Amino acid sequence: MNNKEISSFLSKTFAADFMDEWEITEYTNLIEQLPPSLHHEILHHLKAFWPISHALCTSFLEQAPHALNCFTPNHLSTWVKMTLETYETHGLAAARSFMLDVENNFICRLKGKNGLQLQTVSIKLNRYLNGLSNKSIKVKSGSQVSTNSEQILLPGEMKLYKDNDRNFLAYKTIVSFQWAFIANKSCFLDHPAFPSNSNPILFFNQTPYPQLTADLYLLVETQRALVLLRQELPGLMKEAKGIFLSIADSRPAPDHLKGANYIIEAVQLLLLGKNIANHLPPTEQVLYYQVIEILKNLSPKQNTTNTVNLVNQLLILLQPYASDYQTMIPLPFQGRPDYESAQIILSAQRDKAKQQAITALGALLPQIPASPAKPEDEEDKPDSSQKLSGDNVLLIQPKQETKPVENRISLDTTLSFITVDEMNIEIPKATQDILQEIKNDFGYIPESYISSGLQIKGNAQTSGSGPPLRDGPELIGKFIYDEWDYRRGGNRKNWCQLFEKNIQSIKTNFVEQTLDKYHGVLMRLRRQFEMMLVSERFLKRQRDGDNIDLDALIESLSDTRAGLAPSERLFIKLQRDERSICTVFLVDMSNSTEGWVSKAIKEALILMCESLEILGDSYAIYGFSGMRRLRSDLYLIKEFSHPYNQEIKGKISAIGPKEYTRMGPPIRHASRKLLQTDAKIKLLVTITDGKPEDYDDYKGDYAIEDTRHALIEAKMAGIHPFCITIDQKAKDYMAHMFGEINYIFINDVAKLPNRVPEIYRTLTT
Amino acid sequence: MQHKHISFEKHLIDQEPFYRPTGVEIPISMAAYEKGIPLLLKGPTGCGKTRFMQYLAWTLKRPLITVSCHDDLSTGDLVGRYLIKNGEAVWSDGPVTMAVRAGAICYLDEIVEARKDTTVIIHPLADDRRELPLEKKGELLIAPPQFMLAVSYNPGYQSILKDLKPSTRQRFVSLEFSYPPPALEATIVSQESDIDEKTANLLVKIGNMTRNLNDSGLSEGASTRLLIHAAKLIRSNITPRDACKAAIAETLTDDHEMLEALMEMVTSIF
Repeated sequence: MNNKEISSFLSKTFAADFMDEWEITEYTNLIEQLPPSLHHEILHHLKAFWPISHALCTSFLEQAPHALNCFTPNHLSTWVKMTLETYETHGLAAARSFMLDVENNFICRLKGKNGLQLQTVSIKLNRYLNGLSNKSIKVKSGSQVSTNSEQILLPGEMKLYKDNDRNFLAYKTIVSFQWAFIANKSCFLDHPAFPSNSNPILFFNQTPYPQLTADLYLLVETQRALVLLRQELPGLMKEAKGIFLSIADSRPAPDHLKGANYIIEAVQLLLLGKNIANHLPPTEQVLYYQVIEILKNLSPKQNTTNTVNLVNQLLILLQPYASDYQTMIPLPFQGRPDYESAQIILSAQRDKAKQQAITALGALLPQIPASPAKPEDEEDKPDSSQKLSGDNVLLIQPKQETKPVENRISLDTTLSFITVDEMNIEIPKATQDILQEIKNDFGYIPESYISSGLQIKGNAQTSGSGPPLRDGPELIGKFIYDEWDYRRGGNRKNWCQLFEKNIQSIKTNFVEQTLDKYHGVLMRLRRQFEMMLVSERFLKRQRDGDNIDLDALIESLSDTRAGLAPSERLFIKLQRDERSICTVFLVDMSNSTEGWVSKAIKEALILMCESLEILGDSYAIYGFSGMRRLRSDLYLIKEFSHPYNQEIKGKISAIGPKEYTRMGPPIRHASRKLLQTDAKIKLLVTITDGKPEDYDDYKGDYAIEDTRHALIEAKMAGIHPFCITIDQKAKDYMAHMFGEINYIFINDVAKLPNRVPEIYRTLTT
Repeated sequence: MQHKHISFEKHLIDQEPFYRPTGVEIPISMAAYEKGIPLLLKGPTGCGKTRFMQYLAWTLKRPLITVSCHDDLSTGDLVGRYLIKNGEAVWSDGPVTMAVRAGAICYLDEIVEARKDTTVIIHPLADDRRELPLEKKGELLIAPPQFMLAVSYNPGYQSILKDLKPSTRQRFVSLEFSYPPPALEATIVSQESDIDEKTANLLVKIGNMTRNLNDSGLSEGASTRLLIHAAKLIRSNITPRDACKAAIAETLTDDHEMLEALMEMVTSIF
């Protein structure tokens, strides 16, 4: 292709995708430098890069000539695929650096020299971890093996062995060990001398030899992890024996080590199954056996109190050698726990629990004066008087004398009651659970939580009025909705404004690209949806039909003989089941969906529309976003009455991230629209990437409870709500909002387009 | 016309079925039986609902008549119909009628699978009227005190079409069944398959791991029944890994990535 042809191809192909003339000229010049035989292929790959990242597109064209010097053109597609995968998982900078070093990043991997890449097995490892623990723990690539109780860092690639099966086993062993540290709570100190769940570093620093203490602590915790793993995962421990021995053999010979280092290394080797006791000098040998004797007193049921006691005993033994001690080299699966980061996570969890407890207690104690009343802003606290006179007010008379608040309130030890002014108030189960969690953490409920709960008692949700409204040509209508305030157990009347807005259809080849990309999937979906369409069944006992119903005929004859009036319903009729199903797809258009999420949602919608067109089920698609209570936006992408045509395709392509996720008003509005249809089954499918949240105080429990209430209202009206989420933390709140069986979590965004039609199929068959 | 009578003995359970209670299901169901209130058992597949009914029937010394519901089930299939025998019209009782006549326990398994217009026939039987109208026969059967109605369903099916109507649901005392606690589940697996306690414990560990995967795309974890199947295969000298693959992993999923993850769990245990 010559310059002109390339330029004309680019302007034709990317005209709708906003490629400007400068870019066309730049790209044409870059492509022209490449071998002419590859022009077509390069232009084909350009189509994949352009919609994802323009910067990546430029980098691709800049690096392609160098890359093509390193490998033959038939590897170009693989190189492009791996670049895109790197971009998806690690971002632009990583993708650029991947393209820069073709030799190390591509050629070596191609020849299988680079071992096993974490990214290729991370899904499998994450699922394995999920199986081990019902908490959400994720694996991530990091410079050294470690855990902070929420994630496990692993080397980006594993090249201990030539064989990738063994490399995977090495990954699996590391993950299992780190899980054992998490399960044993190794990152948190549980000892009477320290506050509950303290940082073990506090203990290390209290001793004269912090480094030796830290290593001994890790050694004892490793032994404890090993005991747990032998008990819980005997198969893995059997399989990993070979790995342990090869690790033991690959460690530097311990002969040059002295004193405590020699003994600790000997113990580490023993953990790996290699006994070097006989090679130890006599003094070290005696100490070694004493250390082993101490370590024998371990069981997985003990906690870090026991570890601290054992470390103290070991310290007394090894004290004579402590001054010469040098930090040990950790075993590959041992790594170094990230105690600091674990504390940060714990503190975040504590803050969350504290906030929940304060809010919950605040809601329980609405009637006790805590501090002199402050002037209230009418806008901020519109219904506080209503709250105090509502049905949920507990009728307790505050005493006249001004006793300190804390003395008037006490918590029952079983956390079932809170005593206020000598009167018991029952604590709801949800609040009891929160309080129990706090009690497990601290060992008690801090008094400040109760007094803070009292401070916020009766406070209505504060909320600004939001930015000025932007009426424009896209505005179709305005609607007012109530919002549920769980603390008052009632609605805030006419609290939210929802605007129906039009979304401008755009011209792009996004739909064609999607149909092309998912060609195979679409074929399968079409077949599956066609099968649903022809869900024919024989209706027995009909007045007329295609065939005689023998059972009915015999029965009728028998009835005649028995002296009864025979039935006239003697025919079988073939009936196509009418699917009287109406569905609204409510799509989250908050700014968190920017990038891949938004793209995956759009792809999912296109596949869904294509499938639904076959089935003929009535459906509408609305996007929602907004900012603050006075501006919830509902974007009308497709109404029930609209045919699925170019304009609708353009509107789906135009879906993009907007602002926040106030879920209540759009759910109420979509329910209202669904209720106007006369379908027998009304389904409301919400597709989202996170929990409801707005710019104002619409977050946390308030937002979850309002959304939940909107869904309950929908259910009561006969609508079936369902949610498809990709939020990793969905488990924490989705079951509460939608009901345990009414949501599904998809752990891989890339699977969303595939899964959405499948979920719809499961839901409606 | 003759009545076809249920053979009482045929449906009696002679030997004590192996059942270990996990909660207060036995006293509640006994109380419900005494007071003539029907039972609704809900829970995931293979967690012991049917076994519980067998145990209850054995305890109460009543025959147990089980109907597996499906969407082609008609009211005639449940109540009965006239048939012609030797040129004569003979009424043939359906399983529900048989159970009412015999004062048996009638257990409608997976009731949500039946069409809603079929299940409404149990309404008069499931409230304090305790009667079954046989419209064809012009007979109104009153259930004797020994009769009990029980139904079961799995609320985990995520199909909006398969749900119980509130008017049906609100006639029952409901018992939720779930997988037993690990130690008890191991005893059950061991007892049912005649396998050693240690292997049974390991199988239960695998079961619990698969149940943790609900949020990773596995719609339902391994049921106690699947664990028993795996145990039985192991008892027949199949290697534990092969047994778990065939009885658990392959049964739970067709997704290759998920299958690999499940097998990693199996190989960690065995």
